[in-house]
Amino acid sequence: MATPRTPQDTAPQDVIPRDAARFRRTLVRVMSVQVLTLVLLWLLQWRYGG
Amino acid sequence: MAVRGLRDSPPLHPIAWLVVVFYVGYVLVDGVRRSRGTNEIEGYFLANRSLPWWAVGLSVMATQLSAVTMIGTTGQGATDGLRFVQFYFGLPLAMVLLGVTLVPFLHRERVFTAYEYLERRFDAKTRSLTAFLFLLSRGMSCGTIIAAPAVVFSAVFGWSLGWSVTLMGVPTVLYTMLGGVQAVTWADVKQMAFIVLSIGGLVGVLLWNIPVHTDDALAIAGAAGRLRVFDFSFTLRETYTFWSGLVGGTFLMLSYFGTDQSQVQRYLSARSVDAARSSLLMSAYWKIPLQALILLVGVLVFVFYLFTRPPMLFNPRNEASAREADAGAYAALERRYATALDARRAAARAAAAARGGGDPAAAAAALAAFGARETEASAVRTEALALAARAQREKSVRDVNYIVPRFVRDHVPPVLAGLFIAGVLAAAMSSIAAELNSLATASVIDFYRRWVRPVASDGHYLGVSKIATVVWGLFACIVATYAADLGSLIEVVNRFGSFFYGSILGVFLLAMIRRAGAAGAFVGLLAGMGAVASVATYAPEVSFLWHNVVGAVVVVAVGMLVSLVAPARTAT
Repeated sequence: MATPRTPQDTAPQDVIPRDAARFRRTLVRVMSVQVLTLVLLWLLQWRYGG
Repeated sequence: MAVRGLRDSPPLHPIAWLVVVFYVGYVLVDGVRRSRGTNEIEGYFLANRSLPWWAVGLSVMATQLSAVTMIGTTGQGATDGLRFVQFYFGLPLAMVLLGVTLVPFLHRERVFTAYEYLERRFDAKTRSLTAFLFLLSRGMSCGTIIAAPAVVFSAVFGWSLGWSVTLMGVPTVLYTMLGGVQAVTWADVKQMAFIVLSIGGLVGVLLWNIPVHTDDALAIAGAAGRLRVFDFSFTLRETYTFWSGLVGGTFLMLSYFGTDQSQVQRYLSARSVDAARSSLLMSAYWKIPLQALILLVGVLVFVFYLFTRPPMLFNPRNEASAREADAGAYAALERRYATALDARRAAARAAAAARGGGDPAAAAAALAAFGARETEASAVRTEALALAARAQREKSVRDVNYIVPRFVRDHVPPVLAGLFIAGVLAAAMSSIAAELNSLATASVIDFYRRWVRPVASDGHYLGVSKIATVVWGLFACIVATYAADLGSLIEVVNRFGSFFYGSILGVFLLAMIRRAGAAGAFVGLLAGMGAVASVATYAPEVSFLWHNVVGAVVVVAVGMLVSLVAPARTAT
């Protein structure tokens, strides 16, 4: 039976900073698109929503 | 009462049939062609972890987008406007979180199922219980996702229920059984194209046929409340608010995409961790805009019916039962509805004209007058629905799912009508295929190989997997055929499913906490399900979106408490 493992156990140490940086970039990109989408939906509501 | 095909439904145009037959034939032949390279269990269940990110991403989206989205969400747009889009506000965040936690981890562990990992991390009983809960909920839901469009098609297009179920079920079972995940994924790619094409086609037809400028059409829809997207009120009772979508939605999407084998299996088949992550991010980018577009189709159908007389009730069955129960009352309602519609149409035209007149105050007054006429027409329709409900001895009946199919039947050119039906079939088949594939995987990997036959050749497991796919397919078709008669039982099954969705997420969250042990995970899972069942029973007004939050939080809290008290399992 294997030793109980968690994601932290299996992630090589040198990968963590790179992954963290990639995560931050991805987070910023995805959230930017979402904010843009929400702003467009907000404009739609503001312009026509009554 | 069973829903059977209505004899008076006009037959589908031969050209529309041709498009549908072409679609089904193409998907079937292409799916079977993709069965090459699936001679081993890794190929059959995970495509040898070789699929490109974009194919997996489209498969993830196609799996989530079911036929109910095509007919129900569009209908919701017509009756309720855009606010349903708030349901998806938590999705992008959930996808990003999964991309840095579970996705790389499950991919690197080289597991077949998400539950397999739970045995490595905790113990066999936690794995078996979560896999069993998955089989139970997905097994039943697979039947209901066939049943929902089948019931609508049988009522609107006059097809028999058995034929509708067969049309969706048989080709899907065939290509899933023969080609495994490879066939499912590549079929999903084409099905996603059919879905987007059919939605685009509907938008085009609607814009072409609405007799006022698009800007005026949107203003009129807005005056009827159809373009209200955001609701910032904080209440646990409402499902579609900004906060329930953001918080409850995040937990729901984490559960669905992170722990439901029907989604996990999609990205486990990606060729690398980065490909798996990217496939999920495709949904993060596109889900909300796509969902808004689908709702907008419904909004435009609403505007279309302002200028073209709609039926009072869109479900022919409701109309027939109400008329049969009290012909006089129904006729009176029809007369009132006709008068209300005439007034509403005149008000809509007046509003469009006033907006072009250059007087903002007059335009606002005309739009307000239109809003009042719309409320009157809507009230008559509500009375008619209540009459149909009394006739069927139900508490209430709805016909949201019938609005767009009825519009397609009555007002869309045959080629596009066929494309829409193909789009609905595509949405249904892509979800069914992913579920059958994942049900077979969990049955074979988490139960058969784990408990019944731990050592056997790949050929043996492959054979059992194909049998499992067919058995689950038959089960889904049988459930679908009888689902119309089961009525509220389906709702019970769906509610039952929501009892443990968040709880299973809680177990995976515990798995990421170093100090959590096997006993904590198992007890926490039971406690989480119990907590959600209690909330559902004693506080039924709380929206189901919050059940996922309750389940996950209770599992983590109780699981950690038990883990701190009971010593963690040490590996041998």
